[in-house]
Amino acid sequence: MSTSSKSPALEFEIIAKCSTTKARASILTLPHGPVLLPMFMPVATQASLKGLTPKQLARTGCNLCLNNTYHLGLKPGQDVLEKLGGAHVLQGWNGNILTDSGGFQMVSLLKLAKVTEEGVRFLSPHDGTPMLLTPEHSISLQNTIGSDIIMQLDDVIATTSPDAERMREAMERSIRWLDRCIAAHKKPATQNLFCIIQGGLDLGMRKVCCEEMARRDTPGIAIGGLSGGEDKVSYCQVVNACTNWLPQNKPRYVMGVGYPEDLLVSVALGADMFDCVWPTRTARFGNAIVPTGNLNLRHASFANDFATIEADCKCPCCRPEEDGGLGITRAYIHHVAAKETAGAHLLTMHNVHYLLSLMGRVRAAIVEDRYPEFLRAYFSKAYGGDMTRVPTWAVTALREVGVDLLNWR
Amino acid sequence: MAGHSSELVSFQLSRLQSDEDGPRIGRLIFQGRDPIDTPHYVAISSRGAVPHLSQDMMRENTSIRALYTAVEDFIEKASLHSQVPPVFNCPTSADESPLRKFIALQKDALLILGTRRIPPLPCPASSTASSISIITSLGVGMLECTDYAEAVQKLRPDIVLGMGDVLFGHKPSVKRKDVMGDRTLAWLKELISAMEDEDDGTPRTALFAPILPIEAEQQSYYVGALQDELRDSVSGLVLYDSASVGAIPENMRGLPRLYLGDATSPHRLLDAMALDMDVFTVSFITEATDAGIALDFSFPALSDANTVGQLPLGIDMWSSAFAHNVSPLLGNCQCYTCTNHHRAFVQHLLNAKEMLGWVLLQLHNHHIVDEFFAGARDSIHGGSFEGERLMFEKTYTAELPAKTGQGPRLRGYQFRSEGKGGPRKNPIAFRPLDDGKEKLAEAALPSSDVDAENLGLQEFAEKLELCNTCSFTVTTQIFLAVCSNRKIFQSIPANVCIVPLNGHLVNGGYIFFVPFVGSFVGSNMTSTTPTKWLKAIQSLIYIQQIFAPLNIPSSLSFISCSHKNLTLKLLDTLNMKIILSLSVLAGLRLASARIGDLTYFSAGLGSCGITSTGNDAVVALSLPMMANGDNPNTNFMCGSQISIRNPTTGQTAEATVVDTCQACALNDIDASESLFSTLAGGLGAGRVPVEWGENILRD
Ligand SMILES: [Zn+2]
Ligand SMILES: [Zn+2]
Repeated sequence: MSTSSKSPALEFEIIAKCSTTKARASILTLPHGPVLLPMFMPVATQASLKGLTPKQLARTGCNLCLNNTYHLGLKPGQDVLEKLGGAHVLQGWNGNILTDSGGFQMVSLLKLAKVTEEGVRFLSPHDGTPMLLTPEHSISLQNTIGSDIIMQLDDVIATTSPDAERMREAMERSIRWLDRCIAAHKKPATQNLFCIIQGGLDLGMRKVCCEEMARRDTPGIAIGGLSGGEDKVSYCQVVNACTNWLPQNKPRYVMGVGYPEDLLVSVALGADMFDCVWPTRTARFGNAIVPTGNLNLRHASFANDFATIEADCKCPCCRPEEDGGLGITRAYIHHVAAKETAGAHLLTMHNVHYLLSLMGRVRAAIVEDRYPEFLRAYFSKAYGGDMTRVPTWAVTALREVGVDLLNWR
Repeated sequence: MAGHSSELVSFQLSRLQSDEDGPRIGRLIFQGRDPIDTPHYVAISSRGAVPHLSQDMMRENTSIRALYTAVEDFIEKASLHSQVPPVFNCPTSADESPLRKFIALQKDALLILGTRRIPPLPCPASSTASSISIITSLGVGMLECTDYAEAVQKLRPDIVLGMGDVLFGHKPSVKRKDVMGDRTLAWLKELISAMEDEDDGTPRTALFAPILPIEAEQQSYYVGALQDELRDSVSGLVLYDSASVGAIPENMRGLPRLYLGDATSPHRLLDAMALDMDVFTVSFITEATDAGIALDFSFPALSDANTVGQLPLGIDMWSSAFAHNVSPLLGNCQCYTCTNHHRAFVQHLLNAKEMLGWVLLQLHNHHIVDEFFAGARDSIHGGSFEGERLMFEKTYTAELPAKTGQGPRLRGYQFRSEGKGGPRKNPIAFRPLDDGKEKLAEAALPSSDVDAENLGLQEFAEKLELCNTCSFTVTTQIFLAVCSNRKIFQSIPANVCIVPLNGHLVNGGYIFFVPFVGSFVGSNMTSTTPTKWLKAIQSLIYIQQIFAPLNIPSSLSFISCSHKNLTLKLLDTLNMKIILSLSVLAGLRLASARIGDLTYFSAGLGSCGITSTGNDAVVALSLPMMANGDNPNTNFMCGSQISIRNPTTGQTAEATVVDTCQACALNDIDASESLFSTLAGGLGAGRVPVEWGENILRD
């Protein structure tokens, strides 16, 4: 089976595969430069990553970030984006951008949104007038934004929905909408449309969707509708099954995933790209991501903790002054957390850097074909050496792909 | 006394005019730091960071050479609970300053330490013989002179400013002026002896002594002691008012002068330069940034024959006129922002309330002021200062443009005065009664022909529906709801519309519901003591202060009603209650009308002065919810009972309010660990959405 693919605006090449799990290391070349996968993509919702400049973002190692179509459609609006020449120009970012379709934001942010065959109906948050977002609108807006990867409008419903009929309708409608998106897409030479696999937790439906959408041969494929409250076991089953059915030679993006453990397991199940607002959002609440979990630096116990946020971290905050870093201590973050926005900026930098460098290490482990050992070391550190504390879903999922955390060799 | 401080710092005046009020240029050299050519500015920090700028941004994208820090930013717990300030414990190598290390200030920048933030918040309490009143993020406290001396010993800044007995916000009485010099002198001596005790022959900190903002003769004794006794221990002077330059003794005129006065515009900076001030704190930089204004002036003023009228000192970046504008903020500006971004982006960021907007403005605005000082130095050097100063005065308007957009979210300790040169628009904290009466007098009174009894929950709900279609335009007024009962809505003028979501209101203004007035809610007005009313009014004024810096015009109105008598008289209205929250307005159908996030903290001594443990069912509420007055311990919220429900699991719990949560959004609650566990089924989640309400409102 081919391990590479080429589209007018995208090249994808798998350079290494884990000999045990389904993990892959690859290079995804987009209009704004190559991206090393697997990768975590931070979310710059409104064309800004929570107080960081594009240069600071680039320094965390990021060259592909997300913008939200729904938000950019509201502010600054399609008209302004059109005149400016897109989101890259707007935010002064020379890296790659991925935009969502706007549909998910709409359904989750606007209680009054309603989905019909035409599109998503909702009341304008500006003036309450009824509006309609169709696949054509979404693509037109994303064409104006000029993002390197654009997403189809899909019919998202919670995976936990008990209504199988509605779930099937959503899956089938998403396929029909994909066709409308492909037809509406004006810039296939510079922007890559990704399809989104739907079908809830029903593997039968997922299979149909994978086959139908793979046939449309989009440059990349997203597995959607997850991270909506389903249990992790079901999540892993869906990802694991989909990656079996999907073509090898296309990048696979699992939407809305960002916890370190979820990333590691998902990579083992064969996924390549991820996004999540959690690392940046949690930073604003004073939480630092570290190998042993999460530190809430607002907690009084950190007032006198003069260690850097994470000892081995190479981010600008944690790196000692001698190495050109700032040597910011936990105590200082405690001092400014939730009081000065600079504190949030510092933690955001750390958290984003943490996840990007984690994925960098994941990639190195895959290339050197020691990903199972990497997984074991990571979980061991996270749970203080006691593998029995590793969540069952992770143990089970990894066992499916040949890694047994509990009975090592 | 040893003359050692001069080894640390030297000041070379390269132009000392014989004319006493001529401007001067010099070079301030502190051992180990980059030299600073004067006149120059000192950046002002908040909790160790220049507002909006993370330390890497400051290092890489500004030319800031000196940073002012305030002790009151670092000792909050110490001043309230006598704990050792954490910054004291910051481990360093022998020749390093723990403060510099803690705040990650680069090695070549000059670190200056003073007592109060700049600009200082006026304190309700006055100073004593041994202490001054300060305001920390936890409330009002006192800074003892000995504690300040200890902080200087421990923190080892490059320059420390003597603790001056200076009043902020109003003029001292004649009687007061008499003691100002005496106290300042005593405190200065205490500081000097502490600094000498500490040092082992290698001095690290230089002292700048205050010249008080009073007439020369009223501080003559103090100044006499300065020049006779303390001359060798003093490396520089601090001035609060350029008029007091005349009080500087002859043998101290060659010392560098740090000007902390309220220079609200570049014009006032030039005035102070003309009076031989050398180093300046410039609070309008951050004020302009917060207001969304990109500074736009240069010295000397660029003459442009085509200009009609005066030029503005800045550009309001909120303006939608810039939505498509891809030019830099200023055409020839070399700052990070102008070389990397354009007006359209900054305008977008402000409108989207993205923090980066203020970051970019802050970089630009510091650069403009940096260039302004460089221009002034060149001009003084070339002998053309006075003429160019007059030209500048003529070219530019007197004040910065008014802000039109909403600023970033400010915390209690960050309130700034609104005015740019004008009078302070924020009311001075807690001078309640008269102020309150005045406000009440101008209150909009509701019409009297309504039947209060007929308004119920149902109609309220309908109004909510109706209002969902309102526009989200922020307009001009804040209304505070003061009402006799839950049927407040009939008293709201017809042009006001209410949107319940997120508690904001539109079409005519914001309604802000007074966040709790504890014990007298539900009680009879007549049985309420005047003190309690005073507290209520205080909290109303406090709310106004919260809103004022956000540039929501502070035309505070009280919407009031009482079904018996619709005239609002403070002390004789029967059965008047203050309605506290949307939950009341919603008719108390739910015990939990508020929706916020539940997080947990480790309970200890809280702002209510109550010590709790992790096993107690206690909570901290948000800053605006608590609205702490000068003594947080007596906050009437303290001890209130609330009910909390986790809508996901249905789990409920009751809890007591004991603390203030600095980081909480309005309706968020910080809970003790046991309480959080009860509601969230363990600590793992860290943050769960909950509904909650005040028990007191169940009538
Ligand atoms: Zn780090
Ligand atoms: Zn600039």
